[in-house]
Amino acid sequence: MVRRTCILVLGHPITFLGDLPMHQFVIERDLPGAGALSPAELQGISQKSCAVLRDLGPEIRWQQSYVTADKLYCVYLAPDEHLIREHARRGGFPADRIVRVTGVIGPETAGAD
Amino acid sequence: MRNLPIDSGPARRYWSLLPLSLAFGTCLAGGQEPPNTPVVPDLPDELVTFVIERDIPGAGKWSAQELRDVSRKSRDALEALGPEIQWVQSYVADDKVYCIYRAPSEQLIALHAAKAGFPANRISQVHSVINLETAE
Repeated sequence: MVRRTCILVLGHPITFLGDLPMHQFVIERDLPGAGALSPAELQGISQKSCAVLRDLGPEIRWQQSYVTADKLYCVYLAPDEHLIREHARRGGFPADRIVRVTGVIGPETAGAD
Repeated sequence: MRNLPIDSGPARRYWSLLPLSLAFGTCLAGGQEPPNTPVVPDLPDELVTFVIERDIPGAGKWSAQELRDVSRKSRDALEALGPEIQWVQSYVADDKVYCIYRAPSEQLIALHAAKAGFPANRISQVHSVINLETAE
């Protein structure tokens, strides 16, 4: 049984998987024509991603991806950038930019006046 | 929508009355053929999701106070623009902030950025959101 805990740092949840801190990453994947992908093609990509994730184990988790005309913005949880790159390599996905998220803000982080 | 002023909540309501007034005018004029081209501009009623890339060197080092100040700036600009534009959330990372917003048009996203004093280096409409469930 893997122990999962979650703490807030700068209002941003950092998840721990066992003793391993999980960081959130944004990955920019340049993919011309992405916005024209059919639902079946998107499902195929998702299945490929999930298959690689299963092989890599529970340390890396896919949260969601935003598909735009020529680019995918993916949000993942992982202990480090290396595992993100390995997932991209095995899946045959581009990973043009990988950045670690240091804060998540939204209307609620504005607080009260 | 693109030919109209962006901050046009009341204007939208007036436009919506246009077909009625034209129909009434047509009756008075003796049953002229209505024009084939739509009289009312294509006003999107549904909000679209956008990803906005904001290049902000040093954003990844913002303190909790700075994150709150930025959030307030965004919120104040949103309040000035009305309910048509909504902020979902933003990921602060390294020298960029990736923002998820919902709005009827890209112009409104750009206007919000200008009002708040934020850069908007790339604005992209989201065609779909995929996740684990998409694979099922």
